[in-house]
Amino acid sequence: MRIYVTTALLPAALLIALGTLWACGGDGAAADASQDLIDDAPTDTDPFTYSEEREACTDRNPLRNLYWGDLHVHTALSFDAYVFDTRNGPAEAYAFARGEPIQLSPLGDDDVGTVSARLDRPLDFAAVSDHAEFLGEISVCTDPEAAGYETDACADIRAGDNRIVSFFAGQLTVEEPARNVEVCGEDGSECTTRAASMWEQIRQINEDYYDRSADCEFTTLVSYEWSAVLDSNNMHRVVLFRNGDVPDLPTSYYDAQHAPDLWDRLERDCLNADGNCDVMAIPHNSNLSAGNIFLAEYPGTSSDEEAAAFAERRARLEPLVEIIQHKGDSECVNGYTPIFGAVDEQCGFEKLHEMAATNQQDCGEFGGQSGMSMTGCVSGRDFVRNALVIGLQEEQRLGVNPYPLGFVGATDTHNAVPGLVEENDYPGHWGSNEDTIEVRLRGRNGAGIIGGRYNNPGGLTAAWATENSRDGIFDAMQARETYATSGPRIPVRFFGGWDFEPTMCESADMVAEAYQRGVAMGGYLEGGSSGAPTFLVSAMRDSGGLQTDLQRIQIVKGWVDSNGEGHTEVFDVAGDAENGAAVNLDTCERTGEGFASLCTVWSDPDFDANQRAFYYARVLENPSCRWTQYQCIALSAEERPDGCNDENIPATIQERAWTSPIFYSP
Amino acid sequence: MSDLPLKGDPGATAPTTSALQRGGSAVAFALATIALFVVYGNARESADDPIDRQIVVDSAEVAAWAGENQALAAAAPDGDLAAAWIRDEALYREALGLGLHLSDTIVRRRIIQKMLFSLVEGRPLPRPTDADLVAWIADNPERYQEPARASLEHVYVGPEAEVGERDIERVRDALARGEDWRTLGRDFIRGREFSMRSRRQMASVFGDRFGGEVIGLDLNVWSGPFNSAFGPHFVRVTERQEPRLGLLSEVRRDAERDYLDNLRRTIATTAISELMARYDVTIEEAHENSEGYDLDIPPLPRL
Repeated sequence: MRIYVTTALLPAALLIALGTLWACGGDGAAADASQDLIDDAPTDTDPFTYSEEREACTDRNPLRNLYWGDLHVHTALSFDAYVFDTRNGPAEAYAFARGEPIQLSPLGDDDVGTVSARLDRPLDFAAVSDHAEFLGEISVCTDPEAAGYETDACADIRAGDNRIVSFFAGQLTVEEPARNVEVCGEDGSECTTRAASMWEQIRQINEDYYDRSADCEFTTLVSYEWSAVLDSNNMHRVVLFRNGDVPDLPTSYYDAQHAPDLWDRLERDCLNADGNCDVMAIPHNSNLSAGNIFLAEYPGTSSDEEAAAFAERRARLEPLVEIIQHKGDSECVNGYTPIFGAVDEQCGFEKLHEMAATNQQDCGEFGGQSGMSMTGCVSGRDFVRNALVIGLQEEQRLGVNPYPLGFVGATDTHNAVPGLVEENDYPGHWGSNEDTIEVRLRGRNGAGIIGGRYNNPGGLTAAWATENSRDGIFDAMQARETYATSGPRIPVRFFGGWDFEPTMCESADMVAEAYQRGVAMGGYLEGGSSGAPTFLVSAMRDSGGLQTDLQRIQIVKGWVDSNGEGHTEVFDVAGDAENGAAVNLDTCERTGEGFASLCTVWSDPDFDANQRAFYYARVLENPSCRWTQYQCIALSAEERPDGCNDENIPATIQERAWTSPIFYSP
Repeated sequence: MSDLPLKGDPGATAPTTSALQRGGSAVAFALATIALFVVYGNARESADDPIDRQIVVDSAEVAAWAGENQALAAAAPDGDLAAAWIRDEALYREALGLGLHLSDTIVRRRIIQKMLFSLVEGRPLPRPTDADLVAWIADNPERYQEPARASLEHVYVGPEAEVGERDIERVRDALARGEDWRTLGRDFIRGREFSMRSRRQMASVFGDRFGGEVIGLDLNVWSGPFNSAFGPHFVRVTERQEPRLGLLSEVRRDAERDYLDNLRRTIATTAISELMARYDVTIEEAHENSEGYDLDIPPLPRL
């Protein structure tokens, strides 16, 4: 994280920068001056120090390799997974990610799943991130030797009773959460002790499945989810560690009810502790926060300096945001306060509230309640594009951007199936709530909780990393050199610089040049010459799976003007929106041509060197069937449930990739 | 429950008193004075009474019971834990006497589960030696097969839609002249060099067919063009490893995990087989599985 000079000082800083350019004289000198501010292209000789003991990877590439992963995965150790018949644990989840088959519910008589699933392409990395809350309770209730095993609460958990989920989930919405005394004992110690032992086992499984050999074929990241739902708003964070050096216990909602309390714990137990612990937290489902998760407030601060320190800490501990997962898209939305730009039709993608036709009242200027139950309001602030603009506004005001966010995607599977994202073969992600075609298409479970046809198979995280080790992946995450896709493995590079030539796409060493003369996604464009910044974006269609052609590449720009007003604009920069590609809805067959690859260099036509801005690329595939359409057409007309006639569910989607932004500050 | 005596606590007597001050019944008084146990009743009602009519109240046992059954303990009349325990104990013995446990599905399922656990859990598994692992790998070669791998360099001529025969010829000629391959064709965003990749890994980069076509090429010569999902490429394989059994150092972690998993299963299966050997089984009606029962135990709970 960088701290910029405050607005008042900016003219002076600019004068100094311009003075330097004048002193050098001439355009060529301007290029040289900006060159000095940019790193050299990475080379093989870059030193690399591991934060852990392991063999060096043979796949190390200073120009970065592309690795695919899923950073948000629940297994039987999560209360809202076990209760709904998920019986596979972290070991099965990691084995699945590495390409081994798994058995999913419905359960047979022997408590083993009856539906097989397998990834046709293994993942390169994954993080099992079970809820930190109730690890101990799940342990008690599944261990016949445990004192609380016979209690009613445990019987409900084993029997899959919705009421027990409500009890547990309810504790995560109040300021003073309580333990179930029957299960945990009066002082709760039984559950805390068992949670520690579960965490120990989770760490061991992470170790067992991590490839420490020079092959570097698979990386596990030790992780958990901090599951705050204060005032029924989703404030969840997935907490991820750099290596196996982690605290003795995860921080749960019982320990920390607000994000700053979580950060305190992460600093105390990890960052400021002895050893090599390093950690980050990734918010997700901002779409369900009723305007709270990116509210520009700094609780506990009483001056701009303190607010700036708060913002700096948040930006450092939370460099990424999960913008797609099975509970919908959080990239952008049309029509909710604050509105920074024109309607963007592509923001209609996987909009949970619209599909489920729940309360869609605008939260307005303030944070609301009941975002997670979707009975509260919806806010424009819940969507990442707007949060990025708010971050720039705050940077203009405080000198620090609290939300310089890079992107990741995930499944949030509650079935222990990381990376299972194919639309044409989706067995559900939520145990018995989604494990037959009938319940999947139903949309709400027995307790009325949204799921089924409103949900989607979720997305993936792509990491441009030097190698597939924990340090390699974590470095890429901290540098925001990651991006999200809605499922397909679309390779995309995104660079920004001051002097990329239009012919760069044809260059034999395009990538090395781009690193040498610019910054990759997640970076800050610095310096600034007299001209506008140039952006290189190069994408290829997924070479496996459905192999849908690309339709076009867009660049999304957000900026703040001198009055502090925020703006956004979307530019089509490559491909063809009118390429005539279509889908036959009776067969899901795709017709028409798209592009196997697209590459372009784009220059911002409206650039103003005095305005803070961000740029990210959105790569769109040609249309293809949404998972619901595949499953509806597999049934005869008479067999199709009502869910197949729901007009709020689109028959087709355009799958996509979103690169992390490149930021510009004057 | 913090003021209740715990098993083996040498100071059990004193705290017992404080616990019992709340109850104040005759039983409590007896417990406090006799401290360790009280004897109720005298003998079995008759010689063939199957129920042991002598209840011995062990204060530590009552405390443990109260800890495990907090709801019941909280509901004990007048807070008299011992009385509640005695009542439960009497009901339990009556139920056993009547054989109620013998026909109860839940009890049956529960004790089968406990039995399965007891066959496996609580036995420290020996860490396999290197020799154990080598033997295990040799017995299960299919699990530890290292696939064929190749290191390759490639020149991407360009997107199929944008390049033609002339571009292909230009690259071919330049390679033949020995020009630096890194300066030819277009960049490929996923990289120009790949180190020891399997066919499956190549497929994830280039598309399905490509890896199969190039993995067996002659070493250190340029071949092609080969079409990937993105257009034509010239390829030079610089190193290749034929498929082979993984070395212990390469597969140790997986092998150790599988070995222990298998050992756990073997212990359970053997124990069940030994149990089964002690039974005579008569099948009254024709059974589908006339070959005998499959002794495979259901998958053991794994964290």
